[in-house]
Amino acid sequence: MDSVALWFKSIGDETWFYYYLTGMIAISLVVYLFMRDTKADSAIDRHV
Amino acid sequence: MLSVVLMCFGSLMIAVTPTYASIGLAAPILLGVARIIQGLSLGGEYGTSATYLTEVADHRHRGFLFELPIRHADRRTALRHRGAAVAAEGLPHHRRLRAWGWRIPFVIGAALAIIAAVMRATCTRPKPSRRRKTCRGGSRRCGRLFNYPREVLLVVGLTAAGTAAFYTYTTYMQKFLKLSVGLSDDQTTLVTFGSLVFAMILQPIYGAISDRIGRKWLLIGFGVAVVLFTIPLLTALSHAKGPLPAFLLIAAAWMIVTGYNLDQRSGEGRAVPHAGARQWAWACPMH
Repeated sequence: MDSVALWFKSIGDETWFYYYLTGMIAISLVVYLFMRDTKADSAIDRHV
Repeated sequence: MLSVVLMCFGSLMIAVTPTYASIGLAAPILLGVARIIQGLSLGGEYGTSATYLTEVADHRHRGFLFELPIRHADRRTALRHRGAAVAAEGLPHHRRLRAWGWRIPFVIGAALAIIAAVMRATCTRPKPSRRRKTCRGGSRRCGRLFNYPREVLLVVGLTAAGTAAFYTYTTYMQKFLKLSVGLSDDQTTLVTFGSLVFAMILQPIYGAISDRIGRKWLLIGFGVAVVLFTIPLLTALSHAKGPLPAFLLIAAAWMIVTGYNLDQRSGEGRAVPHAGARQWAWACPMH
């Protein structure tokens, strides 16, 4: 993250890092929305 | 056990390595080797410890126990470094102390590794499941990630956001405070130290919440909040006037980001079916 952030800063627009970070998190948010609810169905108790 | 011994050795090596002024180019080379040893040992130890914690914890308190401040290696390391710096600032002749004060956390780390080795030798082991013999791939050593491509993608997706946010508010934040906000060295050290302490206090609280409402909903809450507030928070932080507003803004960010730091680990552990694969999954994305 440091490298990406510092690179954006070096080209003179650090705010692009904020958008980069938000984009990364938005991708994960899609996964969160479609993942199984582990409170009801945990894999740990099936295979130890 | 090997990973713990290597961790101790790597930390001790950093603590006693002479300066560049003393031994020249050998100093950075030795430091580089020590960091590689530390990284390899951490990768081996972290996944194992995380897997063990979730497997031995009662399912009703898994999030809480998992989030006690005994994990989050990177944050603990950062905290130790900032703590040593803050402590050095409070002592007489602190400028001179700063020349060697950074070695203190590595000595502490080496000592803690010995304690970890004793704990490792005495801890109970979960009984292996009979299903281990018949899990996907047909091999006893079926903890290989390629046997679980869907789960691997799930872990990558789960960790992408949290890793990005986590490192932004830990390692990068120090540079951000100094270069973009314009705080002095001392102010930067104090603010990052305070915010990391605050984050560690939040962890078990969020863990207990996740035990009640489930990991998925906390992760969704984290994702939505971070997507909405990352740009406003960092923009406001870049215009912060002094250390107190900066600390408050970072604390606000941790109140959101902690939703990931605790839960994705438990969440991904529960999503990956086999203990061997789970251990790999825990170790790979972060380290």
